[in-house]
Amino acid sequence: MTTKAYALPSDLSPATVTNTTSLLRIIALAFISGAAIASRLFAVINFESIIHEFDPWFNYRATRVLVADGFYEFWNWFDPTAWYPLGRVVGGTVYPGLMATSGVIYKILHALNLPVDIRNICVLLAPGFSSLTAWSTYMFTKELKDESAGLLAAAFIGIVPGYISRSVAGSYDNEAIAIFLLMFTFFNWIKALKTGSAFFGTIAALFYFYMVAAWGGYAFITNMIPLHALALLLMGRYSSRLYVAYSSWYAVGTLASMQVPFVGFQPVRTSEHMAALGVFGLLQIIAFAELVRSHVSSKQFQTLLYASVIGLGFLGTLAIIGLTYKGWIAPWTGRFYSLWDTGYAKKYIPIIASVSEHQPTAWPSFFMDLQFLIFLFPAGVVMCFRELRDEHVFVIIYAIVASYFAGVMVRLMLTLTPVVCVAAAIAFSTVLDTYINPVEPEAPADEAASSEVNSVASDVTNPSTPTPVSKKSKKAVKDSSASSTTGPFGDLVASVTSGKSGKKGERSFGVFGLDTRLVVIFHAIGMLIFFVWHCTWVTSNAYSSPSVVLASSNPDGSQHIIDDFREAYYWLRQNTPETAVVMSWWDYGYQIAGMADRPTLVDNNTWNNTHIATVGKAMSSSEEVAYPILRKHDVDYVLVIFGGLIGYSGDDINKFLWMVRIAQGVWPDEIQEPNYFTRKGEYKIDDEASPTMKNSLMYKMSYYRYAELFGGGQALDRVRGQQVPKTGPTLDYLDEAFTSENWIVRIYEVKKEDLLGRDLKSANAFAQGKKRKRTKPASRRKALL
Amino acid sequence: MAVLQIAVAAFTNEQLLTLTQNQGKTKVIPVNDQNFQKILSGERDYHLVLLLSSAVPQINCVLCNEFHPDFNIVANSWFQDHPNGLSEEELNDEDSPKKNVYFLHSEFAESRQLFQLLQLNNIPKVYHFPPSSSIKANDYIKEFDEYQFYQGVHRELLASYLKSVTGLQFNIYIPPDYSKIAINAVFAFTFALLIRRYRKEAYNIATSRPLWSSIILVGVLLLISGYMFVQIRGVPYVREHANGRVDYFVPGQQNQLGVETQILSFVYVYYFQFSD
Repeated sequence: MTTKAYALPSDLSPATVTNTTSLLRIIALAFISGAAIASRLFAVINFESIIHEFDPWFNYRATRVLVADGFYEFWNWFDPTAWYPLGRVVGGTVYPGLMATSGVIYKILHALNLPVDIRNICVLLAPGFSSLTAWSTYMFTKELKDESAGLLAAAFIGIVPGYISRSVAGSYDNEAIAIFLLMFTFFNWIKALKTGSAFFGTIAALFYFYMVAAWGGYAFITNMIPLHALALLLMGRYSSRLYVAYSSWYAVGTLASMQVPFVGFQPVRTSEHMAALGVFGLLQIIAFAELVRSHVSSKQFQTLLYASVIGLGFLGTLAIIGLTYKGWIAPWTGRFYSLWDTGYAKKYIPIIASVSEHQPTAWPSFFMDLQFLIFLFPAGVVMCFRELRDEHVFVIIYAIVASYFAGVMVRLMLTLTPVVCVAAAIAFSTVLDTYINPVEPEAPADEAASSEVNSVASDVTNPSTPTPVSKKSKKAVKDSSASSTTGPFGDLVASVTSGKSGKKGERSFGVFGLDTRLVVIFHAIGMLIFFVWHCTWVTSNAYSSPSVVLASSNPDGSQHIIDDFREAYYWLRQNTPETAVVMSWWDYGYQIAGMADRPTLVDNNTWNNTHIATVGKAMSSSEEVAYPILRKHDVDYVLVIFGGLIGYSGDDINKFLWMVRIAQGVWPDEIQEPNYFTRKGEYKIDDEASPTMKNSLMYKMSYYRYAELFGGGQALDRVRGQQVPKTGPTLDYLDEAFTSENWIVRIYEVKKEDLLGRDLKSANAFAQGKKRKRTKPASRRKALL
Repeated sequence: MAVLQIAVAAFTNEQLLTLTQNQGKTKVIPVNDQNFQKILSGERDYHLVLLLSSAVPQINCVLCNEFHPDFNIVANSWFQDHPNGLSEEELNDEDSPKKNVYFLHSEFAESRQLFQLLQLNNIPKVYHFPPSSSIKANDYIKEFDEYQFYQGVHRELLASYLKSVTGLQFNIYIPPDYSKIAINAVFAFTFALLIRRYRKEAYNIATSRPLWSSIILVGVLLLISGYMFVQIRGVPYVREHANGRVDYFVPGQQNQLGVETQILSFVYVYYFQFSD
């Protein structure tokens, strides 16, 4: 007979219980969705309904084209204003999933006579999809443990900052919908694997296709599922369910993914997809071997197996070498290398190394983004080892792979977040299950075992801190006690508690009593409350800034908006001809195209390294060298970001070394990084700055007339904390056209060639009344001789 | 004195070639206090590339140790391409006459005079001495240019630098490291043998759930407490101040020290036990 820690109502019919729980579940999910959406609206409330950052501006612009011109026009869209003068084939170089999604929503809403602006759909797409993510995480976790763990996982992922950072209202990026697709594909895969159903396999494939169309990170799924299948094969868990699920997913998914023009034939040619293909082949071979084994005697089968394994291995290796050699399989891409060999990008691809999202992750970021989930996460992973069903293997692999990637690249924290939520939910709900479950295990019958346990339990002060229990006593308890919980932890609780309750024999006090249960449960609830508080704080303070608009606070605490970017972009839009080409560093390309609607030389789609290096060279060389480059590229305006006045640290002078490095990669003879440092090797902009630095176009444009602002006083650069030289740089080939309120954006007009054919420097000197230095009159005659 | 130094005229091209050929595995001529005047002074119709470095532990020159193997690779690759120097046609090419290149290495411990003469206060240095017609002693001190060390693959940077100063094509051949291959092969073979011998135990280990779960646990714990950050950035283990104070933590969300990974993994394990 089992004893209960507290009384349960006994007059309920099972049907009532089931109905009530399912109703509560639906209500809980609805609330979670609401919370997920609401916590992402800080950006809209604090600022306004605006597209954020850089990439979203391109997505937004593309979506507008899609909605205005239709899908076919979008598909064939050639954008002559980007990468001027090269242009960009947008339709073939974009993942269209995001734009198509907003387009479909737009059409549906308009068919329902709801005239919603496309911008608002774009802004609110990410919050909307986050509620779907919560739901799919619930479904996924339900397959692993039960509904209560599922609800916890859904709540976690709904508000966890690691996911919010990429999906606040206005961050209209591919990741906004990708995490939903990731989780839903994984859920379908697990479902297909569990049931061996080709239907769920096909659904997984269809959502995989959607994912391929939406985000370059689809390669994560492409490798996770084969890895899982391979692990199952190695564990000797081949089954026809695995065969059906994998084959249906791979065949349909690969064929579907090849329909995306940007992906094309990559699934059969690049190394990133080879694992999926290889596992598919392996599964066919194993399936065939199973078939043969069921038909021939085991001895014959052995011989056959050996011969075919050796033969096939040999042929396969040869084929791969041959194909790589012939160039039919694409070489290993740089991005792929930079994930595995962490020093690779630093050495060979400055453009990858320059992106701050590609930096490794320090632990404070993990904690900031995941809070208490991060230390529940390993616990949840270890709990997966208890049952170790096929789907638990999946979570374990996902956990280790995603932690590695998140450690290597900050931005891949996004792929780690779902599995952290799932594993933490499993751990957390196990804790709650154990302490809420009213069933008390009976005291062990075996006297020897219980006395042994007593000795162990006596020095345990906190019941929830397991101390190492000797294996023997653990086993003894396991044999004797009718513990309701399973696994080592359950045994441990049972051992600890049974020892004490056996001694005291009390009902509502002691380790099994309500008091200890309440301590643990209150602690757990406290952690949850603190988590919610942390998430809200992080979301409202760190992740909701649109970065197009900056916020600072006035002395009285009220908010002060710094709107220099839009000010400058609108100035460009209204004061320059529509064909005026604007040169800036590539970070601002998408924003200029989106907000100012002017052609740009380079933008955030960093497909052409040489073109970027050209801009880098122009920025880092002297005026005389840069001018022909500017003229050859028809540049009318040059835009630089300068934060020195108000202390905006993400400005161009701080990015300048990357421009130098990238330019040096292409022109090592002309641009050399050490020339931009002082003799002592410091990066300085004050009087000590190196001549190359002081003559560079970027330096001149940033500090042009800056010292005048201080009216003869010491001019201070607030970002670098250095004094700017009193006699600032002069410009001969450019003219200051516009400087925004806080000097963040400075725009310069490129002068046309002098009408009299002089070079602009001497023309300028002439205009200022300076006397031209006489050249030796004899030299000309000498040359003629 | 001056007469005496003129008397020690430089090597001829052929002499240096034989000297290089007589070197052992690395085709770099060692320079020391006894022979540097003889090698560097006087008239030359070839290029000299001199590496000045030190492997002495007291000096602890990290870049030297990093750079020296690459220097040897470049030298050997050049010699592999031109075991007998440049051919007659190349030497007498009308459009762009080419000169031979010889590689020298000077170790600080053996050539203090030379280092003093060149007034070096930091190493490593790579000097390129172009062909010269000057016969005055010590003129080489004025007629060289210096290789700038950049971040990157040293052998490629050095080769491109040499190409720019000599106008010659430098290919790079990296010799396969046979000892490494052999060690790996031995390890793999022993491992295979052991597995074959203790098949049952190996199977038990490979299928041991506690083992796997602890491997995964340790892996995940290290990775989420910034192990990769420490690896990639090469941050120090702890930060020591001049006054003997030691920092175990650094401020900032995107920064940490090596020891933080360990502290954090233990804290996480503690919490993990607590929550379990």
